[in-house]
Amino acid sequence: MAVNTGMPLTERVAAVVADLPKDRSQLLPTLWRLADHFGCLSPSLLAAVSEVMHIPYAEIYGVASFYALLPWDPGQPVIVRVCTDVMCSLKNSSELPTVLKDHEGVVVKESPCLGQCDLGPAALVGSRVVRNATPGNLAAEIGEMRHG
Amino acid sequence: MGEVRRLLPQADRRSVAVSWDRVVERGFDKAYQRVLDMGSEAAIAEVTASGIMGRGGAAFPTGRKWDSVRSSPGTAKYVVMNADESELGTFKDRALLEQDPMGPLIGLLIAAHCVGARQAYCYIRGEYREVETALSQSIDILRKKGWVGGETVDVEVRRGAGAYIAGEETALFNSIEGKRPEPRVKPPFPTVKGLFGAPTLIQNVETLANIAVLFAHDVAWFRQYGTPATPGTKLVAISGHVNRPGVFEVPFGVPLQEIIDADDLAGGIAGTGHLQAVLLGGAAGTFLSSAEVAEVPLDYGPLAKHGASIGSGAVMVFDDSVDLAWVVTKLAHFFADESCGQCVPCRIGTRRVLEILRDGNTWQRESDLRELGLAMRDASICGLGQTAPMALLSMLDRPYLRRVEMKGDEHGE
Ligand SMILES: Cc1cc2nc3c(=O)[nH]c(=O)nc-3n(C[C@H](O)[C@H](O)[C@H](O)COP(=O)(O)O)c2cc1C
Ligand code: SF4
Ligand code: FES
Repeated sequence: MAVNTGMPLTERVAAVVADLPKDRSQLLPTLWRLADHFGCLSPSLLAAVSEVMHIPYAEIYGVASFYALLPWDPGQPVIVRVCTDVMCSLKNSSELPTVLKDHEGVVVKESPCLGQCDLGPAALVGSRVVRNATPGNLAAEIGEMRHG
Repeated sequence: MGEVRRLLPQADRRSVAVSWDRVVERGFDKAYQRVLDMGSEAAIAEVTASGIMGRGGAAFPTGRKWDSVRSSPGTAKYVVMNADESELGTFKDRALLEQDPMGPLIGLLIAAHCVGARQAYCYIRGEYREVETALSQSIDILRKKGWVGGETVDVEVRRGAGAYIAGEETALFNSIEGKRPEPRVKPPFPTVKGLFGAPTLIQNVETLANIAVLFAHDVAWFRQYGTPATPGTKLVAISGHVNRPGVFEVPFGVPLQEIIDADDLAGGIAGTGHLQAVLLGGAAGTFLSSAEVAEVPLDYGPLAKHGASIGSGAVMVFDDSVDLAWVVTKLAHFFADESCGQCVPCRIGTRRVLEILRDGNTWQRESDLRELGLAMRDASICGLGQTAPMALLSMLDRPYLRRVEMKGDEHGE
């Protein structure tokens, strides 16, 4: 996780992406790397990217804000994406977000089809796929994310 | 006839999926060597003769596409494996990459060799992290063998980040280039001006797997299954009210009813036990009534007579307890959310469709919906806007699928 070493943000960002080419086509890999390292993206992080990669801030924001998976919720919460698309809804997945609301430090989002419709209801806990999701196995996965 | 396993490995394989042994066991090493020996032109002629068509939805003849990229002027060329797979009800590329990642990768290397590309990308949706890891490990194995990197072709895995539209080929190029994944106006087509403005071959995962098994055998073997017009096998992803949801490989031309009923395929209708309709091809697919399902085979020609296509291979099965109005309202939601907003017919049209469905007087607004659908089809930049109202219109075309009341969102939620 992000440890504040007292270094200015721009230098920390530069260090985290040191091995990635400073090329526009590396913008999305760069954003993924920073999201994984810092837990979430923020305007100040994007400003640092802008300096490091020499790309205008507005362009970076335009790209970063387009994608649903890039995290913006500060405080390192566990993000759970429950598929509430057609096939999972038939298996009552739309009830799962309500059940999960009681977990502290968990951000619950509804997601379109996760490509697991044969094993629905499906969910993503962090980046892990949970098939045949129930309140029980989701809670277990959330616990594992927190402590493992 | 039931299940066939050619793209999917036989269940009794000894090798593990991510291994060099798998390459050898499947004959993919010989396949690659055969292509190197015969030369690009002969190999492309073989792809054309096999009759392989794209499995990503549009069913464009693959050999023609390769010819076009190969003959386009330009020193830098690219090949791309499209593993973005974000269409509703579609999970066959995931299953294929889980069970046999080496096949599509070898197909990608063959494609790069034939069109003269030195750089390849695998674009995989960000929700498939486990599959992405297997794919990266598979590439490393090929790299160690000297088949990737150096003087051959380099392969880079690109992770998407949750945007359905990024699966559209030109939006995908923009995503790789570090731009917003918004589709480009066509023409120019990717074969002439694609990734980084260079001639680019982009193929679906399953298409590339077909290439690998073709060259591991020959055209005659390849055409043993399927129909003369549509040779080969297709992966179908079956979900909903069936006893055995999952991914199955079947020959083109197999009756739809058999896919649903056969014991070694979907195993029959679950739920209430009464089939109401199948949504074939994804969110922009076509509803087929139970009567249509009973008579139509899985092939483009016969399906076209019902206004349907195979699309991504999604077969979503609904029993008679499901309110299809609820389904089409959910689809409308999806398209309104996923429209990139770049062009007016799609940005406004997807919203209007949703509003009409939510108001619940869909049948009274039928002619408005049809007009809107036509405008979107004719004036949208990309396939999303062009096909977004397809499923809805296919339901309007089938009065026996209509429920007495359509309440849109209030229903079933
Ligand atoms: C909105 C939209 C989303 C698409 N998503 C995918 C996808 O996830 N995977 C895919 O292979 N093709 C997808 N396509 C089709 C691609 O644009 C392209 O036709 C395909 O990758 C070509 O490969 P093929 O000839 O092997 O089918 C999509 C098209 C549209 C309009
Ligand atoms: S049709 Fe829709 S998704 Fe496609 S470019 Fe236009 S607004 Fe974007
Ligand atoms: S509808 Fe939920 S995974 Fe496809």
